[in-house]
Amino acid sequence: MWRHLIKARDGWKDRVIEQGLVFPMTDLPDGSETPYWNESAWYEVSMDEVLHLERVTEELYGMCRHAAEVMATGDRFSDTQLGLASGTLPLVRESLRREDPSVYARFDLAWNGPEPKMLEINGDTPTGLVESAVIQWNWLEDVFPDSDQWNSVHDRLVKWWSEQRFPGNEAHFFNSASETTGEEEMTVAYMRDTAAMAGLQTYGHVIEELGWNSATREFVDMGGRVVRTAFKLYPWEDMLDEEFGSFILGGIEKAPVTWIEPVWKTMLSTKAILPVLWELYPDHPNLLPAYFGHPGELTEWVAKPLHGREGSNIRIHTDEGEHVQDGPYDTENCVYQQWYPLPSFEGNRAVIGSWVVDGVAAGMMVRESDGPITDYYARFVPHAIAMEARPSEETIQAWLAE
Amino acid sequence: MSEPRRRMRSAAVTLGLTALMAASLTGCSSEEPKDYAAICVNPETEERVRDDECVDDREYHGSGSGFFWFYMATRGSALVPPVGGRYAARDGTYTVSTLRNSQGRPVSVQRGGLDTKGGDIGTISRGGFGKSSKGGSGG
Repeated sequence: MWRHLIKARDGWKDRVIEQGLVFPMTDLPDGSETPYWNESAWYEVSMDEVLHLERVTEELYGMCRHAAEVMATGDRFSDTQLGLASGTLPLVRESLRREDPSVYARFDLAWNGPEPKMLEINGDTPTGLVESAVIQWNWLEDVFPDSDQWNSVHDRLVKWWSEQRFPGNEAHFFNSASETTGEEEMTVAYMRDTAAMAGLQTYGHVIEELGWNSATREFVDMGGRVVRTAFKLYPWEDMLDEEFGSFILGGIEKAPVTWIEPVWKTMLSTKAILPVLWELYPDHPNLLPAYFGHPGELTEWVAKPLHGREGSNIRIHTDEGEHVQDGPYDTENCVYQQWYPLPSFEGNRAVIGSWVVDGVAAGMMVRESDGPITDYYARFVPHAIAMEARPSEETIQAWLAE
Repeated sequence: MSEPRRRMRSAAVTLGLTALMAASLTGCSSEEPKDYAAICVNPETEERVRDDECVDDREYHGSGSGFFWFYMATRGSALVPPVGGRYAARDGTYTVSTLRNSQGRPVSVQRGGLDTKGGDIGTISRGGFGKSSKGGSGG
C-alpha cells in the first residue's frame, strides 16, 4: 500500500455533500473543523494486496460466524457478563438456528507486516458505508476514470435485497435521531436506496418514532403501518435493554419483525468475540492475542470496552506509557488485545476497513489518524488499484455471478 | 493464480433518496410517548364516566365525592372499561403525582381520549427505542 498526495477536485466539498456525504468536515473541540473526507491524498493498493485482503476477510468472517455460535451456545458467557439484557443469548441462539438473513459487516484491519491483523469487527451497525460505496467510487470516476477500485459494495447490496423474500416485498428503515451529524441518517437512506433499487417498497423514519400497538401486539410505523421487515442502524444491545426490547425478548409480538441486522449479530458487535476467536484459532496469522477481563501475558495491550464504538473509552498501555480515550461507554468489562501499531504513512496512521456483504468480501475503505487510535476524528481517504485497466462488461457480470 | 477476482461495480450509482436526504437533511421532532392514559371515573360507584365529567386533576385519596382521573399504564395491555362500565382498580391509580418512571422523573400522562366503548387500552406507544443511544450507533 502506498500513499500519494494529490490535488483535491475543485468544489469537492459541495460535490461529496450532494452525493450523500453530508458530513465532509469533522468539528474539533476547539471549534474549528478538519476534513473527514480527505481527498488531498489517495491510497494505492496492488491487485495482489486486494486478493490477499479478500481472502483474509472471508476467512475471518467464517471464523466470526463460528465464534458467534460458540459464544451463544456454550455456558462460557452469561447475558450479564456480556453486558446484555437478560434473555438475549437464547434469542441469539434462535436467530442463529433460523439462519436469520444478515447483509453486511466491516472489519478493521491493521496491515503493518506480512499479514493483516483483525482489530475488530463491526457486525451490527457498521458505518462508513456511504463514503465507501458511493463517494470514493465517484471520486475514482472523476480522478482516475481508467483505474479500478476494490469496491463492489453497492452492487452486492442491491443484489442482496433482490434475492431476499420479504413479506409484502417491503422493508422499513430506521435511524437514531440522537446522532446529529447526519451520518446515520445518510447511511440508512443509502441502504434504503439500495433496497428500492432492488424493487422493494421502502418506508422510513427515526427509530424513536417506532410505535407499539398493544392491542394487536405489533410494531407500527409513524403512519400506523405494520412493520414486518426492518433495517435499523441502532445497536441490539441498546434495543434489547429498552422498553420495546422487552416485547422482543418476551416473545409477545404477534409475528416477530425480521430485523436487519438480525439479533445474532450482537455477537459480532461485542469485543468479547476477540478473545473467543483467539481461543478457537490460537496463533492464527490474522488474529491478535486477546483476553477477557485481564491482559494475560501481554505487556503492551489495548483495553476495549465490550460495546465501545469510534474508539471511545479505549485504554492503550505500551512501554512508552498509557493513553486513555474518553467516552460514554461502560468500562467495567473490558477485552485486552495485544497492542499492534497501525502503519504510518508520513505520520498518517492508516486502518483498513474491509467490507463483507452477504458473507463475501466486497471492498475497502481507508481511514487515517494522527494518533494511535482511529477515533471520531479519523479521515476517510479514497483508494485505487494500481495500474489496473477496468475489466470488461462481461468480466464484471461473470464476477458478480460467481 | 487464476484470473483476478476483483469485482467492480457495474452500474453508475444514481441514488434518489440519498441525494434527496442530503439536500434536505432536517431534524425530526418527536412527540413524547405517554406513560399513563387516564379515564374519568366515579370512585363511589367504580364506574367509568365521560371524560368531560372530570373538570380538573384533583386526586382522589379514598374519600370525597365527584369524578376523578384514574390513570392506567399504557405500557402492556391493560383493559379499559367502556363508559358506564366498572373499572379494575388493579390496573391503575388515582395518585399519579407519586409515580416516577424508570429514570426517576415524573411520568407523562394523557387524560382522556380512550375508546368510549372500552376494550384493550390499545394505545400506540412510541419512544420505546432510542433512549439509551450514546449519540452515535455506528462504528
